[in-house]
Amino acid sequence: MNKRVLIGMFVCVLIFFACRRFIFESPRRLDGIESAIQTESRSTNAVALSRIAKVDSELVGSVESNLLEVNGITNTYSFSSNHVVTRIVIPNPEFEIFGTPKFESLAKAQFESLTINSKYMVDTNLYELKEVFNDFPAAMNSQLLYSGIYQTAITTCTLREVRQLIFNTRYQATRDLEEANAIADQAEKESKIQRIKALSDAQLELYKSIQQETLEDGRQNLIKLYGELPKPIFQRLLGIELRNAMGRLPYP
Amino acid sequence: MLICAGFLLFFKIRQTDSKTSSFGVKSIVSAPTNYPVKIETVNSNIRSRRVETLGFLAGTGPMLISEEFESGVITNVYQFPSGKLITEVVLPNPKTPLLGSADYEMLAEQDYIRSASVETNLVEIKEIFEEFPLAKKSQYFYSGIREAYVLMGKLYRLQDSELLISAQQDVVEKEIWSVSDPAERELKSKEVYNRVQEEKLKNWLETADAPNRFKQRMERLYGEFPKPIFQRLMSIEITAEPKELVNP
Repeated sequence: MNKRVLIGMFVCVLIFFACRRFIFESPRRLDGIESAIQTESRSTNAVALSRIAKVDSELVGSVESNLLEVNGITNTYSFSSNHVVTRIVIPNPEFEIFGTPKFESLAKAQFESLTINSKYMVDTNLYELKEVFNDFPAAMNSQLLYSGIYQTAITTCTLREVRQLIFNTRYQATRDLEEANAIADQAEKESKIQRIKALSDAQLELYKSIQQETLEDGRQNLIKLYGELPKPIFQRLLGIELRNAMGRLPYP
Repeated sequence: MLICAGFLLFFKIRQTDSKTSSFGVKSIVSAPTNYPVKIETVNSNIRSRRVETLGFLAGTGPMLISEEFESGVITNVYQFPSGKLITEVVLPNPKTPLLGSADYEMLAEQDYIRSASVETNLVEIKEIFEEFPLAKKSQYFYSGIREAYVLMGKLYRLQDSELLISAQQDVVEKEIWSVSDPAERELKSKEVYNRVQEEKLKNWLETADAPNRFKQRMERLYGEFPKPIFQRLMSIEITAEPKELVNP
């Protein structure tokens, strides 16, 4: 996965289900939901209705594992079904030097390895990205042009991954609903349908939250680099879709 | 040279497109009798022509040749590496006014007012068009917004189609393994592979063509269409399916 901040794993998911009795009738069903959400979490995504906290945390851990001390971001989501999901994002280590000349030189080398030094077909959209930055004086004067290109690539690739997860959720829900409709017992069928809908709605809301976060994080990182980021420039950058991710920077 | 394995001509009811395209689409079969379709008579009146090749040299890989006529009829010829050709004829809904008419603009404005509350990103599209002086001054301001709405909606659905093809891998496997005889299964496997490949290529060709068609229509509407404006519009996600513009 190429999301900058997502090398990290979701170590901990799910604090409690306050209304589990009302929404999910049996522990077995609850387990199903939990494991599904955890599965999604491992694939760097999760589900949420409203983010209730965003903390630059020093602590990463889960209910069931040992605590680790690393830099990361903890996002806590509360759901309409009254359960809470905590998502911990650990940035790739190279982002510790984001905004420095070292990061810039790594990003530049990566850009060149995919363009002028590439043995394979070049994705011309990388040049398109550079062209947009050419129209953004703050970036051109910053000596951090390639860091911005790299950050933009990370943002757009992550958005594409989340888009795929949104599709997968809808597709899986459709298939599950087809299966549920084949159940003979009416009560069981209804309950299963409710459960499938509740889960997929929650997942979709989480993915949409992640989309928004990805956009905002990307924007903030570019502002960190250049001091400002006009909306038209950001829109233009997002309008350029790269065929492949730029890959990790070779940082130890 | 490619060998034509078959020539498939179908007049397709593109129900999806009839909603997503500014051109309403009807099949010849369902076209009203008082609206005869004479494709031969419009062939000499091509308004625009586009060729998409997916990075291959023309003639060596998948290709789409799309021609649009003054009457609004569109013919899409898909050529696949297998040599197969598919010709698709898209007929405009006679009740849908043509782009660049006052009727179209009026319907587009009404549609914007109706849809903006549901698809809030339409407001973003409008904001971008407001920063495009030629569109702002033009009497076809909402026509451009409508076209962008249609384009982004179409691209979203094409993405979905592509993802669906990948997601249905297990269905495809099941289809192949349902054949018990190994020799027949081999044949089935090839047939299924070609079919899936063709679906993917058709999807990619449509995805490559849609933005170019949009740019052509914008240039026709406003005289020019700056790249930065196009890039900005491409960042706006539209998930709702636009409704067809139809004169009452």
